Amino acid sequence: MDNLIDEGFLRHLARLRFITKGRRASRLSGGHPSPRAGVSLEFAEYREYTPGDDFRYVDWNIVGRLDRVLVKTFVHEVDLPIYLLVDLSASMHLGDPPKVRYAARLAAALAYLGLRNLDRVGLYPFTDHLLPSVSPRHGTQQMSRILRALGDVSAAGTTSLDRVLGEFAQRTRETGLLFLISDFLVQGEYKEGIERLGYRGDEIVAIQVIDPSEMSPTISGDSRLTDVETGERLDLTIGERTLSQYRRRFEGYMSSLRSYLASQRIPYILAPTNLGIEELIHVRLRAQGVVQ
Amino acid sequence: MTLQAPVALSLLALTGGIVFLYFLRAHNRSYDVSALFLWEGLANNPQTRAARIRKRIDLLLILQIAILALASLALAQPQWLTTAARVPGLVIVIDASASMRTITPSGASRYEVARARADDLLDRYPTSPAAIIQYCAHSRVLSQLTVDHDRLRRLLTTEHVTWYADGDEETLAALIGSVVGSSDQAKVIVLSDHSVDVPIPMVDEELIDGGQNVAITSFSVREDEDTQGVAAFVRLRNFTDRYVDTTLRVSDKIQEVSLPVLLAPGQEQAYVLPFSGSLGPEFSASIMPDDDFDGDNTRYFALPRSIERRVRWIGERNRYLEAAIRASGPITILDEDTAGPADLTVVYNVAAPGDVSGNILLVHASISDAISLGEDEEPGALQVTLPDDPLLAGVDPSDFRVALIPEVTADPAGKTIIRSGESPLLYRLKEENRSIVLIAPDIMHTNLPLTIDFPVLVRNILALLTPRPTPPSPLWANVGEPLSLQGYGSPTSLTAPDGKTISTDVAHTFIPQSPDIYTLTTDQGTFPLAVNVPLAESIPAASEEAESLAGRALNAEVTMAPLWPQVALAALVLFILEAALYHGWRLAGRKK
Repeated sequence: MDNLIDEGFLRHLARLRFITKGRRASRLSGGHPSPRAGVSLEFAEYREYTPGDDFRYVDWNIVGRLDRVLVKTFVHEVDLPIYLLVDLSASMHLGDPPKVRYAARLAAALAYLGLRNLDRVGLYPFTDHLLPSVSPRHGTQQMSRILRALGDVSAAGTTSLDRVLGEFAQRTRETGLLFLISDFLVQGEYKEGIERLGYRGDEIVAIQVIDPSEMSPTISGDSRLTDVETGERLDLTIGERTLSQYRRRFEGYMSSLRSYLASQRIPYILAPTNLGIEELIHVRLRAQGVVQ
Repeated sequence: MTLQAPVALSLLALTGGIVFLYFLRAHNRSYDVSALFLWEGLANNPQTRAARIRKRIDLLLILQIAILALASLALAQPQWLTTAARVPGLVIVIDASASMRTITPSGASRYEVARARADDLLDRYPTSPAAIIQYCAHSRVLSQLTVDHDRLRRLLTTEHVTWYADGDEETLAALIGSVVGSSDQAKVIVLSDHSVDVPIPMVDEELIDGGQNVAITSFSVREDEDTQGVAAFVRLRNFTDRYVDTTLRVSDKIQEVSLPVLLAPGQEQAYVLPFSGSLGPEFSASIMPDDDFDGDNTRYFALPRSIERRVRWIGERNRYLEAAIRASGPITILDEDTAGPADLTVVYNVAAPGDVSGNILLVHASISDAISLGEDEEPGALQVTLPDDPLLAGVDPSDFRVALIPEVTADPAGKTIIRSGESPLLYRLKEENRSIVLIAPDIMHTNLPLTIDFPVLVRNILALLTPRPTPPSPLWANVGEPLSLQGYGSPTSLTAPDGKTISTDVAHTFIPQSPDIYTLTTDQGTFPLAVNVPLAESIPAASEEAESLAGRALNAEVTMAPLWPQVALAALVLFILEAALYHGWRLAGRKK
């Protein structure tokens, strides 16, 4: 835990909780409203009495005043499964500090935040497929499991978000709040998976971890560029003109990603590795309405 | 294509070094990126110097490798051969007779032209075994078939043209046969200044022509009938196509007579030049025309009269007697102790030993067992007993006066020609192995030295005692013709004109190597040997024949060319181009 997250930071996180946009369906009670009526203290609505209703919830004042038998219903609060999908592909190993390190710290913070609010939190690392995961559970033991899993991560392999999100949809039957932590540097291979999860009802939060050098590289001269995931190489003589072209292309790619996610009503948080985790959560996640 | 030095191709291994240096210099810096697709399609930055250098090096690398490849190939000495450029055997026959010394219009002698042509042939058939035959009066195989053409070229350099006559064609055919055996695939090329009719079908002739000649075609000397001089007979011929104005000179090394002559084109003219008072025996006739063959501009002749007598002298010398002996002809006087044979022994005022061999002239001298002298006495009256004796030919003894004369005891078989009283004054004795002539008184006690008849008497005595040997025949020869020296007596030495002694073989056969007069010394005397260039060498080949042979020579050409000069030139051009590009780009880079 010491490697990924510290005590001071955790104290600041204690006051935050995740915000869900709709009522969640869950079999387990928790702190998040459910579409079903429940036994919580929060009044929900009145409805006509049907045989079998508990007589204790008949509002006799209404019966006396309106001569109608209505029963009071209350909001059913359920817990929120929080899924942390962390990209461990080879590209996440780049950067200073490595993007995978930043993603792991972010995932640990989010896990702590979820578990602190009595939510079930699961960790799903992936490359081009899902790696061994930590299933969503409550409790402090779960935090230990998640931290242990995050402590062992190493980046390797390629990225295939569509395939990974498909596998995730098959593996988890319960929808929840899904944090997709990746550099998203894949060429349009995420839309199908995201749409599939959105259709299922998951709330997705896209966090793009980017090294500043990827946004504004400082390479120059005769260069051999190697894609760390595919091993493909490209010889290029790089000058200011080339870098300018690159920056325009990178910005365009980011813009298209943001546009797509906005069209899917998916919060998008850019997480440069030179940005502190605390600031990221308190500022950017809060600004996107993910936490409050 | 063949390579003379294929090992030079090993230089191509340096290509690896060049490529290694190129990559060492031109390698790119490596960067790992997360998404290569963001970089794909971006334009290379044309403004960067790195881009320019890279482009430059790419072309320069190709040029450098090409230069290295071409240079290696050039050093390997490639040669392009046609299929006809190799034969099972190449036999080059070079005419080395004297006429090949003729200077051609190019300034080189015919032999030098032939030698250059032979060199060309070796170049054209570099892989064929080749042999060289020297063709002249003493034709010989200089080298059997060999692929070591360098050795053949050295032979061509060291062997020189001779003064010999043309060779025998049958001998040449035999030599060619000994080289090529029974093969009929060999190529035989005869390089000569005349047609050589060798009875072998595979022979090609190449005529080496050119040069014009004016020649002394004949020269001889004959004694006048009165033996007081000689007459020289000379025949000249103008083989040129122009008038020749020159001077004919005849010399006996002491005197010279000359005659201006004018010869029309093709004219042959004989001349007789009287040469009074000449003693010879060595004569030469020469002309100095402006022609191209000087071997026949001088010819030599030796006269038999030049034979010397060798006289061994025993006792004290007497200058009157010696002068009379010398006046009779060339003599060499040997001391009593000098070894070697003598034509005559002269004994004066002493008793000669009995074992003296050969003919003897005794003057106031005795010899045991034959003639003994007593004390000098007053002479008696002189009386000619045999006036017709050959010793008295041309002699009038009536003028002889004697003061003292010894008493003589002589073999009665002898003849007393002049008597003084009862004692012989002039006496001769013919023995089985020798003849003896006695002049009994000491000539210093007579008036003989003062008489004009005394030299005549002495000449008659020497004519009797030392008859002139039969002139050996001949005293002249052609260069290259073997001359047996046995007919001149037992040879003791043979001297060249330059004074060097020439060794002869065990059979005493002499083959003269150059024209001039040689000196032969035998026990019979000293003989001059006149050696001349064979007459046939003066006669040029017919021009019509020359043309046809020249045409055949052209048809016999084969095509083959060395390629390395072209390859080396290409390498040089590429090198210059590479250097120009390099410096051009460098300058362009600095300006920018």
